[in-house]
Amino acid sequence: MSIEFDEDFLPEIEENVEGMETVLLELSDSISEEEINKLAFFAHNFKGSSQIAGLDELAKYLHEFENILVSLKSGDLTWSAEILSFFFTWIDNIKTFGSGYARQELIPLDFGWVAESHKNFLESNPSTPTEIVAKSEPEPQSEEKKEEVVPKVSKPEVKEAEKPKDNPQAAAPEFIRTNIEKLDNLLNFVGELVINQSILNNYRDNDNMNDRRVFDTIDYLNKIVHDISTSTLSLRMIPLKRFFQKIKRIASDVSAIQKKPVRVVLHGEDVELDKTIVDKITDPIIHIIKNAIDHGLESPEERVAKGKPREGTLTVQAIQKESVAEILISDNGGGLNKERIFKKAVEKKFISESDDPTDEQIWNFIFHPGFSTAGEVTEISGRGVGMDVVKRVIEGLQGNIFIHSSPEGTTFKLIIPLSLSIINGMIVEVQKEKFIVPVSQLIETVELKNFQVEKTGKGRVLNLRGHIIPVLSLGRILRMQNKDSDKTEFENEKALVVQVDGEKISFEVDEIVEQQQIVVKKFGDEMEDIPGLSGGAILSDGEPGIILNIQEIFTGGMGHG
Amino acid sequence: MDENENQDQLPNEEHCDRYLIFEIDSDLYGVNLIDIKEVLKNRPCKPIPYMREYFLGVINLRGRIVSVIDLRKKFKKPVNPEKDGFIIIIEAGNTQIGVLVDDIVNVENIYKDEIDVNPHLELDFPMQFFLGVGKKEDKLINLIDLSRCLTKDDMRIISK
Repeated sequence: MSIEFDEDFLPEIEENVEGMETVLLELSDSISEEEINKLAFFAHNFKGSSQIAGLDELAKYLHEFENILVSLKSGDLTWSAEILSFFFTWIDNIKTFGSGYARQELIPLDFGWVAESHKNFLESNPSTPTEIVAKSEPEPQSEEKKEEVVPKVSKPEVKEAEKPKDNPQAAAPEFIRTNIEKLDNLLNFVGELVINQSILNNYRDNDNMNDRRVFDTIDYLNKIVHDISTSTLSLRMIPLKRFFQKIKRIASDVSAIQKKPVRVVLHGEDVELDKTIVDKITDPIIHIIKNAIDHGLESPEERVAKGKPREGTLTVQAIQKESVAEILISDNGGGLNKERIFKKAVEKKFISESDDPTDEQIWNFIFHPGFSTAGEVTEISGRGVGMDVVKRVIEGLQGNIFIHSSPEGTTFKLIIPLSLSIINGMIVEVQKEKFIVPVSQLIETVELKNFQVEKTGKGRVLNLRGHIIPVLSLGRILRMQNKDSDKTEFENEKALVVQVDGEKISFEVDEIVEQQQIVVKKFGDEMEDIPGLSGGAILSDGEPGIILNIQEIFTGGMGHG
Repeated sequence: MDENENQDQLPNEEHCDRYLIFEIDSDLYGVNLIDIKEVLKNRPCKPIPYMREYFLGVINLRGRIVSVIDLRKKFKKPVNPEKDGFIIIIEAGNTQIGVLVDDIVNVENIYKDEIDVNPHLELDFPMQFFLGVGKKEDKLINLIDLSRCLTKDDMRIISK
């Protein structure tokens, strides 16, 4: 496979080589578990990113190195000066490779040499009491040998000490690579902040607080604080570029295994999202992509028979909106098989045969836990992550997932907030209490008095431009009132329209106060994981407010309770 | 530790802890001062849905959202309407929790030998909080551990 030289990969090389070298330089006549873990951490991450960059040889080179670390950790291999000098040669080779890569030149790496050295170390290892070694040693030395065995006795201790660090991932600090321009911007804003602070202090010290310019300065400070908050947030944001590269690679792997030629079209690699969000959506999106190629696209023969181009197309498009990003994943396959899904949903007793669900409701059955069956699990799609997990992850991020399917193909639309630290929130009032609803979860808000609301046997319904949707009282769901209101005539009441499992539902609130940027605060442990409550915030009046996850509130069982 | 015999002459810091003494329904309780971050006058709390009755809600503590529970309700004691109450902020690990009590009395040094960890009396509050009974002059003080018990307490009605 041909290599695309990617400038973005250079800092990755530098960072990892530097990280490993720092550890190596500290090593002398011993190596601690912690140091092994650190090396393993860098090697593992580096291996992953080299695979994404398509540098298989580098990945193998790192993989063999990881094997040595495993032997060192398990005690099969004892630390020696030879291994240390080998490590230095090993890392020098990577450095040479790196400088070659910078010149767009691929310098071969001999991973066989690493494996070979590993074998040699194991064989010549004095602490491995192989008979051959013992025999070839002259008598007096065999006593020394015994001494060397002594550290082996202490090995269990070492292992115990390592226990708490069993999970190196958890202990390793996380880093983010950022554009220096972003930091410079932030510094500039902070500079402005300091200057204006001293201007205000000056007015105060001279008893000039009524000066017109004081107000100007405060206005200016407001602007600076806003700029600082935006630019601090942007430090956590990373472009989707690397993620897209991963998609490309995975799509081509799956396409090769499935023998389905796929053209991958990617748009919007410059859209930036919070790093945590990118990390969280990676697996779900990869799952959708694997599914799209595995189940979505027809075999080339079938496609040709249908008069479609032999090669399938997978499009991934990221679009930045005001406070959310939309990610569209489409295939031009045959679409979801409505009859089959319906039959299965009946089989699984999600609905009864007499029900007449809409297309959208049918498509949404694939998100039901327990929908996909063992019969469908293939090498590609089946790895324990079902579409239900995909949906859960996206909704956990206050996002939303929609499906649209036709015989021309299937599109998944993901609505994802750009950041988890500051969200765009709608402040609503219920029973005189304020609650915050993330705008990313809302389809629309409506003024109830402008719409027709009627009572039915079960409750109230709203005629939303021809769509009949249920109206629930948010206060009842939040257990602030015992039952749904039965009001059908309204003054100021509003309704929040959301989509849950492919169905539109509306929640009546007393008032929509305003829409504003909300700085998300975490709750304490005692309130973590309460379905429907995703965090808190300090509102502009200084009072704490609760951020609701409105889909979770409904699906968490509260809606029916 | 193998210290020498002079140990008894040293100021007895090891043998003594400082406790914040507070009152609920005219009984005295003591919490180790080490676990306490600060004490606030009672203030309105923002109620939170799906929490148990003794959970009062959350307050804004200088930009941090802190849960407050009513210890009187938790201990199933009557709430004295004449007392405004105080919120004791307990810190355990990364979590802070506020605890509403009737009144703050004082801070006492209580020596280890003044604590009876196995008293022959019936507790009328949950056992898991109990550390021992401190005797100071003629008063009996229930020494309790809020930090561990409250952070592990299941305060919600529902969960995922």
